Amino acid sequence: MRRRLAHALTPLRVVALAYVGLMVVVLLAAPLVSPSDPLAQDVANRLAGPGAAHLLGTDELGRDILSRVIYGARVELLIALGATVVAMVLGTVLGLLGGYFGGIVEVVTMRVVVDVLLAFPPIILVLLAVTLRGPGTGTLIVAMGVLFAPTFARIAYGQVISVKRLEFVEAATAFGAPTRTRLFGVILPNISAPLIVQVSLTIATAILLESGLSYLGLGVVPPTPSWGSMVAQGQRYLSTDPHVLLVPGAFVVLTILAFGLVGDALRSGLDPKSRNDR
Amino acid sequence: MTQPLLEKAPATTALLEIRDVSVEFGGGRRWKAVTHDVTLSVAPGETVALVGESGSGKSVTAMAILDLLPANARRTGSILLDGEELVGAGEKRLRQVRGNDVAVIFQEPMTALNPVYTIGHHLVEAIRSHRDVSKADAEVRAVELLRQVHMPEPETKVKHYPHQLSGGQRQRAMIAMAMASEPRLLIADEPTTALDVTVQAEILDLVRELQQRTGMSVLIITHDMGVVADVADRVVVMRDGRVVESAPARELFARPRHEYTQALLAAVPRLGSGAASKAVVDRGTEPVLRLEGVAIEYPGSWRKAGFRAGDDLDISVAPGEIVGLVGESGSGKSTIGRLAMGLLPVAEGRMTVDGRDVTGGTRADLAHVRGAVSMVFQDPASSLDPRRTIGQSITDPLRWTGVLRSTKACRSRAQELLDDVRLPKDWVDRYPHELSGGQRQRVGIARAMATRPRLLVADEPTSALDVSVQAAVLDLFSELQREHGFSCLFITHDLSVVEQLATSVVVLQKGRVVEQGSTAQVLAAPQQEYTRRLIAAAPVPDPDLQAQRRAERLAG
Amino acid sequence: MYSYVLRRIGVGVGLVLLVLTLIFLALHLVPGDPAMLLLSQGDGASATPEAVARVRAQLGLDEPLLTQYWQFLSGALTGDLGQSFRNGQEVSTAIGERLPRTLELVGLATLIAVVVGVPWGALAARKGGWFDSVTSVLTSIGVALPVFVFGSVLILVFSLRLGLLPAGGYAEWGVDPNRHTQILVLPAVALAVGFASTVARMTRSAVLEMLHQDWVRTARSLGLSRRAVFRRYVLRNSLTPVVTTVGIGVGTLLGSTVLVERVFNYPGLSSLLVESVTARDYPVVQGVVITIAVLFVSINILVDVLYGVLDPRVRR
Repeated sequence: MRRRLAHALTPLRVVALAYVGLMVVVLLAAPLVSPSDPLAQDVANRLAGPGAAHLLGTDELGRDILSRVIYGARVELLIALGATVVAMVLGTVLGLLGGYFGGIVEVVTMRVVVDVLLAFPPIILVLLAVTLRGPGTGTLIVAMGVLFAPTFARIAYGQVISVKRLEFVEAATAFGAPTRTRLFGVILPNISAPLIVQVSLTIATAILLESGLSYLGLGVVPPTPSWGSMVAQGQRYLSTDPHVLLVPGAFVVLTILAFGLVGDALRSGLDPKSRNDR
Repeated sequence: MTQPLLEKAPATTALLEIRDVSVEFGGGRRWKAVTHDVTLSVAPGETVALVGESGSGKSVTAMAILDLLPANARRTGSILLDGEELVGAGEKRLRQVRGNDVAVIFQEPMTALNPVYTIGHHLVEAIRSHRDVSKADAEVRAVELLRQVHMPEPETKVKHYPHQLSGGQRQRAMIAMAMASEPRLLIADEPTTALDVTVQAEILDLVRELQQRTGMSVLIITHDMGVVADVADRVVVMRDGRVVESAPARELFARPRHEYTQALLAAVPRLGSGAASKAVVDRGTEPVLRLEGVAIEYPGSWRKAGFRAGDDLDISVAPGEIVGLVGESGSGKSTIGRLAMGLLPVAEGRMTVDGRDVTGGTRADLAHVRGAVSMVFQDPASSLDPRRTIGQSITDPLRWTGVLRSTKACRSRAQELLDDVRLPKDWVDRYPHELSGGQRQRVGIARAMATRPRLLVADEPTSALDVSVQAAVLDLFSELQREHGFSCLFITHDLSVVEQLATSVVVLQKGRVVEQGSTAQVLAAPQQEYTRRLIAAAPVPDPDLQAQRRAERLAG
Repeated sequence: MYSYVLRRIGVGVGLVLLVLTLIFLALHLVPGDPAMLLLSQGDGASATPEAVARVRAQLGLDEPLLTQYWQFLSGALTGDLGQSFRNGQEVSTAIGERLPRTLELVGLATLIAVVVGVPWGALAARKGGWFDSVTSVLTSIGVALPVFVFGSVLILVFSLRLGLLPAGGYAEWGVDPNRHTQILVLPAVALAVGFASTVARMTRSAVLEMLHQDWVRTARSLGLSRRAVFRRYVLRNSLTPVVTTVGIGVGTLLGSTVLVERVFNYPGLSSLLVESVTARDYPVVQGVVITIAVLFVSINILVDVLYGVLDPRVRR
C-alpha cells in the first residue's frame, strides 16, 4: 500500500494535489482571501499590468483581475462539482442496473439512454439546453450532469460486467443476499475505484466545458465573474494588454491540468492494474 | 539448506546444458533472485520434465533458456546449447536459435496466439522467420504442418482465427508453428494444463509421435505428476527456485530421495488406488436432493437464443452421501451445482430439496433451498469479496438470511467457524489478499458451513490449488463431512479425487448423464464407452503403469 | 463481415431516430410554453401575444403532438429543417453553405492529431525513460488546454507578434487558395493539440498493454526481430483502441469547433450555431444540432466498421 502510494505521488502530482487543495480553500473562503471586491471599479487604473496595487493587474473597467479570478473559481468549481455529482449518481445507477440485470434493462439504460446522449458532442447538447432555458447556473449543472452521466454509466457498466462474473458475487446470490445488498453492498464497493478516478477527470472536463460556454457568453450570466467570459473580454485587448486574457486563461489551464493530474494519481493509487500509466 | 540430490551427469554430450542459472527480477540497483543456481541437462532425443508447484521457478527457468523473460528480468550462469553459450549471446544470435533450433509452446494457446491474425498467418510467419520461402510456398507448407499435427480440415483451418478454434485445436496449431523448422529442442510450458483430460492425452500423444519422427528433445514444464509419468525420461524437481532432485523418471517415482519429492508424490491422488470414501450413507430416508427428468436452460437474450445446458437428469443424493459429478468442460457439471443451489431455474422435470418440491422456484422455495444447501466455490482468488474481512465474509450468509443480526454474534460465530477449518481464530479481521490460496479455500468452506447445510455443493474446490495444498483441503473436507454428516455434491474433472472422496459417481457429457453408480463400481468396471475413455485418458503417477495404460489406450 | 456492417448501419439508423426523438422532445418536455420560453430573454419579461402566436405557428405548435412529431421526423429525414426566425432563410441552405467549411477544419485537425499522436505515443511507450516522462507531462498539459485559450495564444504569438499567419476570417478556396490555407492553419492546430495529446496517451497505453501480451512472447519465440514484433504485432494490435479514441475525438472536435470558430472568427457551421443560440433562433439551432448528431453517429458507424476490419473477434 505504501509503495503504491509512493508510486502514485510523483512530485508533479503532489503539486497538483496542493493546487486542488488551494482551490477548495478559495471555494470556501473567497471573500476572505480575495484582495478586493471583484466588481469594484478602479477607473484610474484601467488595464493596469501586474503590480503592487493590483497583483495580477486590472481589466478595462479597472476591476482587480486576481479578485475576479478568485470569485470566478468559486462559480467555476461550484458548477463543475455540481455537474459531476449529478453525473456520478445518475451514471453509476444507470450502469449498475444495465450491467447487473442485462436484457431489456440493459437495452433501455445503455443502448437507448447512454448511446443517444453520446451521439452528441458534449457542448452541442448544452447549447440546446441553453437555447431552451436560457443561460444560468442551474441549467448548466443539470445539463452538464446529464451530459457526463454516460461516461460514468459506461465505466460502471463495464466494471459490473467483469465483477459480476467473479465468484463472490455469485456467492452473495447463492447465500441469499437481497438484490439491493448485491448491487450496493457487494458490487458497488468493488467497482468504485475507477468511478472515483472519473470524478476527478469529470471535474476537469466540466471546467473545460463551462469556461467554453462562458467564453461564448452562454454560461454564467454577467456580471458574475467567470474565467471564460474574462478570456472573451481579454480578447479585445489581446494586442495591447494580453494579461487581461492570459491571467484567467492560465488559471483555466492550471485548474484543468491539476484535476487531470489528481485523476492520474488516483488511478495509479487505486487501480493496481494500471501500473504503466503515469 | 540441504544439498539437492543430483544424479551424475550423463556421459553423452547433452543437447542442452543449464549450469547454475539464476534469474533475477528488478532493475537499477535492486535485483531479487527468483531462481537460484539451477542446473539441468537434456540429452538428444530425451524428454525431461521440469516439475514443481506454483512459484517453484520452473517456467522462469524454461523461459530463461531463450531469454524470453520480461524486460525487467536478467539471467546469470551458463546455458549451453550443443556446446554454444547462450547467456551473453547477442540478440541476433538468439533470434537465429529461437524457433529454429529451439521452439516453444505455451500453456494458454488462446492468449499465446495473436487474436487478429489467422492460424495460416501465424504458421507462415513461423515458416518464413528462418527460411527464405515465398509466401505461396509457405502457405502450402502451413497446411501440410497442420496435417502433421492431425488438425481436422487443415485447408479450412488455416483461414480461421484463434478464437474460432477449440482449445485442443489451438494447441495443435501452436505445435505446428513450433514444428515449422523442425527444432532440435521443444520447450513445452504446461502445454496441457488448460485442456480437458481426453484432449490432454491426444496432445501428449502428438508430441510423442513428433518426437519419435524427428528425434527432437523435449523439455516439458508441468505440475502434474501424471503427465510426468506419462512422457518423461528424466525428471527435475524444483521448489522455491531451486532444484531439489533430479533423477530418471522410473527411479524418481519408485524411490524419491528428497523429502519434498516424497511429500509431493504422497499428496498426488492416484486413480486405481482403491482409496474409498468413509462417508456414512443413510439410504433409508428421503434423499436430500432429488432431480427427476430435469432440464436446465440458460436464458437467452433479445438477440441470443437460450442454451440447454442439462437435459433428462435423474440424480439423487442421500443423507450423508458424497456424490461426485464428473465430466469435461461443457458437460454441465457446474450447471447442475448451480441448479441445486437455486441459482438457475428448473426448465423441465422436478427437483426436491430436503423433502420439499422446489421446482416452482418461488420465493419460499428459494428460502428453503438456501436454508438447506450451501456452496464452496472454485476459485479462491475470487470467491471472497476483497473488500470484506474474512470474518464478515464467513457470516454474511447468516446476516443475509436473517439468522444472525448483531455484529458481536457474527464475530464469535466466525471465530468458531475459523476454528472448525483449522485457521487461527484471530484471523477474523484479515482480508482475503493476506491469505494463501489454500487458506482462502478453507475460509470458503467455513462460509459454506455457516448455515449448517444439509447439502454442500462443492464446485471444483481444489482445482486451482497445488497438489500438496489440495491434499490438505480434501482431508479437511472429509473430516468435516464425517463430523457434521452433511451430504455433498462434489463437482470435479479429476477422477482420482472422486475415487478418494465420493461414495457414488455421476459421469456427465454434454449435459446428459452417461453413467452413474457407486464409485468402486463405475471406476473399476465402467459400462459406457465415454467413461472408459475418460478413465483411460487420466494419467496416473506411475511410469510403468502409465506406459501400460498408454499402450492399451492406443491399441484400443 | 457483410452482415456485421449491415447490423452496424441498422443500429446507426435506429440511433438517429432516437436522437431526432430526443431533440423533438427537448422542445416539448421543457416545462412551460416553448414559444414563450424562446421569446423570453431570460429576464422574465413576457413577449407580446402576437409574437407568441407567430412562433407557435412557425413551429407548428398548435397541431396535435403526434402530427408534430411526424412532420418533424419526415421533415428532418427529407432535409426540410424549417426556416430561420431571424431572416426566413431555409435552414438546410444555411447549413449546406457552412458545413463544408467546418468539415474541412475538423478533417485537417484530425489528420494532424493522428499523424502526430500515434507515432508520438508509440515512441514514448517503446523508449520509456525521460522521453516517456516528458511526453507524459506534455500530453497532460495538451489535454488540459482549452481551445479558446490556446487559440488566443496562437493568435497573440503567430499573428500579432510574429505576423506570420492571419488572425482569422475566411477566404474562399476559389478566390484565394493561398489565404484560404493560411487561415486554416492556426484554428486547425488549436483544435489538434488536445486531440493529438489524447491520441498519444491512448497509443502509449495500448502499446504498453500489448507489449505484455502472451502472443508477443510467442512471436519472439519464433525468432522474429524486435522491430518486426513491434511493428507487426504490438503496433498492429494497438490500432484497435486507437481507432476508437480517434472516433470519439472527432466527435468532440465537432463540438470544439464552436469555440475555435469564435476565436478565429471563422464562418463555419458552429458559428452559425452560436449566433443562433444567442439569438434564440430555434429552427436553426435544431437543424445544426441534428446535422452534427447525424455526422457523429455516422463517424461512429465508420469506427465500428473499421474496428471489425481490425479485430476479427468483433465481427460475429
